Amino acid sequence: MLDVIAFQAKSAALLDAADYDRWMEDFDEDCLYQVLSVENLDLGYDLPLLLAKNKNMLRDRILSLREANIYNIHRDRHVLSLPVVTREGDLIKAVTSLVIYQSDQEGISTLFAVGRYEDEIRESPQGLRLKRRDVILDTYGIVRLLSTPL
Amino acid sequence: MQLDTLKRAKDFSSIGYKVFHSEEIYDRERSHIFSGNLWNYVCLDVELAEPGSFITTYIGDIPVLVNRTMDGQLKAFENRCQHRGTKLRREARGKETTHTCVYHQWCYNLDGGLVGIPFARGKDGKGGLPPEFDRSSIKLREMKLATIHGVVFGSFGDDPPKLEDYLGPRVVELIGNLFYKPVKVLGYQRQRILGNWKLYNENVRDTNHGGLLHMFHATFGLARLSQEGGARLDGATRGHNTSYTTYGTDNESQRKDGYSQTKKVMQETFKLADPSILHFERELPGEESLVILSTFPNGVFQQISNSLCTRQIRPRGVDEMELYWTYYGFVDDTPEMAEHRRNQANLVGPGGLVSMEDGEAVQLVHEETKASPEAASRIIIGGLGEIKDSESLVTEMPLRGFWATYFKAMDL
Repeated sequence: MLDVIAFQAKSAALLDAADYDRWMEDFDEDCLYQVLSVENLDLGYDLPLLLAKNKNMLRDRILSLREANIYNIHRDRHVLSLPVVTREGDLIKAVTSLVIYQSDQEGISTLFAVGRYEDEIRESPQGLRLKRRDVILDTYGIVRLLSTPL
Repeated sequence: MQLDTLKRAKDFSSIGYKVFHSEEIYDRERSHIFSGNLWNYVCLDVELAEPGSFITTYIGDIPVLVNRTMDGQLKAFENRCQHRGTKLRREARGKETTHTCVYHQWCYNLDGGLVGIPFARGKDGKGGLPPEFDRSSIKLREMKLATIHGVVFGSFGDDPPKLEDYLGPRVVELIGNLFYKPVKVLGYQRQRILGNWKLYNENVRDTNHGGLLHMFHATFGLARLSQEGGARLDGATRGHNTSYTTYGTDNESQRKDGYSQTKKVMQETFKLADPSILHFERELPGEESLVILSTFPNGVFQQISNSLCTRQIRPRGVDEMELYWTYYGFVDDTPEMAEHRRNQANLVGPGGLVSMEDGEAVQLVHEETKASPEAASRIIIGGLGEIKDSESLVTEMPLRGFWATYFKAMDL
């Protein structure tokens, strides 16, 4: 439990620091990372708001953010709850509530997203690794746009 | 209303910024545009598959309830109880045989007729409705509906033209191509854009920005201004626009020539580690790999590679709008195509690699023009004078078609 809390906290801190290269290190090469709307899930639709079907697609997303996309200049701040942790064999499943604020260049912070992580984590010789992270948004009415990873 | 401060040039090549910020204009849009004699995009027929199915939506900021009657007809009403103005259906969607207002339990059937009022005669002959009250005279305010290839349009106007005439034959044919066989909904995306709804209408008609603002597009070759493409303008005053392009129709010298004046839009050295998202499987009757059809005043129909969706523009006051994206595929999609469409949902929407910038661009214009309502834009790329089709993507002509249609509808 403590190791999962520390793992998720580190991941969130790396996002808040915009250190996406180190953030990606915690993902398996064949990982799945997706941002989903709870409205769609309730309707039985798996349409993503953002999808990386493997780590290369995550790398492409970060490359595009850095080199191609134009988005609102901001800082992210993640606030996580304690995780609900279950184990299925070697797999650790963690469900963690998530709140993200965005702060602009004038120092004004607004609530950007409310939701939860549904993580599938495995132990590796290098430490815990994400096999899968679903970011399920209660805030599926995305204000402005969805740029930096959640 | 001071016409001169809104429309600076007779050919609509300059528009005063006040049009994006005035409450007076916004109120007039509700009556002249969203209740006017024209057709709004409402939903897809397939979203209301069974009798009793309903959805709630907005036309302008007018709340609208669409349902399928028990005998299979689609009907739409203003989503407002005729008693005291309460929102009648609160849910985004569902299935029921009647609609009952939560406030005082006035109950309507799926044809919009009032069928039930509790305590109509009061208690023991005291209270209740007056004797002259005629229940059959109360109906929900109905919106006319018309459907083309499963795409549902609606009009609150008393005397709208025939939908096919309003859209024009090329738009009708294109909708036929985009919906050329039975479709199914794949899901929704919602985006709150902090800007006036007309700025998004400009954005979506602006073929010139596609290859400049959206650098993912240009960098990875989905859509470049150097490719073959253009804009087709339809409707009596050219309010509808189809922007189109085909991948792989440019060459290196055309690219270098066009993009040499920019610093970072085209960076040939970038390569995707997983290029599966760029794969284009030709599937529709049309030749193009990218088609964006925008219909006046609130509809967008999109084919970007194999990503198919509609977008409904929902004004939420002068300063804000919701963009409501409905993604669809075909009923007979293979599992591989279903997965590919899921992958390509990454391209557009609020987090789209190609399109996320639009929310930002609209807000940047909205915020900055608020302080200068007397200033005006320059809509000049693609030429002045007659508003007509363009055989190049480097054009803003479709914006002028939007404004010609807007000012005519607004009677300004």
